[in-house]
Amino acid sequence: MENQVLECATTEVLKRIAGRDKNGLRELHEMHGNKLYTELVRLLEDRSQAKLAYLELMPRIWREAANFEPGSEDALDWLIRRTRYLAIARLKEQSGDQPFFGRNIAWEPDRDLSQQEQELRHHQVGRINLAIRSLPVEAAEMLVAKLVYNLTLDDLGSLYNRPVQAVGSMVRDAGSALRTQLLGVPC
Amino acid sequence: MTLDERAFAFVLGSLDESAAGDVADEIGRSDKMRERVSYWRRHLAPLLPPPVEEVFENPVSWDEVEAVVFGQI
Repeated sequence: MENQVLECATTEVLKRIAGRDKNGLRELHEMHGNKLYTELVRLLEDRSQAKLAYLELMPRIWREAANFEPGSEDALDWLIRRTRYLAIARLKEQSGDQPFFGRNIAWEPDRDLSQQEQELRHHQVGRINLAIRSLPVEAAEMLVAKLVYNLTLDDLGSLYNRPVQAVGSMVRDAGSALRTQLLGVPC
Repeated sequence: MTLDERAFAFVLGSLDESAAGDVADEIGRSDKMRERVSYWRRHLAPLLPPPVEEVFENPVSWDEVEAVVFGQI
């Protein structure tokens, strides 16, 4: 119930921002600033970079709120996706020819899992990372951005400066290669 | 595409809207499709970011936001 209320409030605030209501942006900053900043810290792993990125994010939200479609996506999901898009763009700039997600992804221990479950997960994640590393860097990045961080094909097109159809085709081919790798790596 | 390839692409989110709709329908009708989608979801789940446990306090003030967005101090 509380989430629904927050979601409705966020949708309304985004609509107001799209209508150029400055107070709407202020409310959004007060309502979701901590959450968006936390997401930036999580991706960029650096608080000063996250602060700079937040100061870049807010003007983007001001400009792009008109693109938010309430019927097709939750408002908070849209905000988080915009935040991740920006963080990934920054990580891509910094990582050169290495994947933006570093050497591996998803190594965080989950304290709710038993020792045996932790080991299984560690093994499972190892297999996935091995499979992902067998892909070309750009293809691997697109898969991670799509699957892990929920970026859309439009986002990927913009991030990699390619037509959406080309990006869609790259994601499909990379997905197919990943599946083959995962099926081929022995348990 | 084989059933397993479509199940994987569905979980990955790489199918177009119409093909994804077909798989979603098939999940309701086919045990095999349901099993393969569930298999790939389980296998790819560790990649998904863990829930946020600690929310950091945003050090950016409204005045700073206002300055960068509207050019006022």
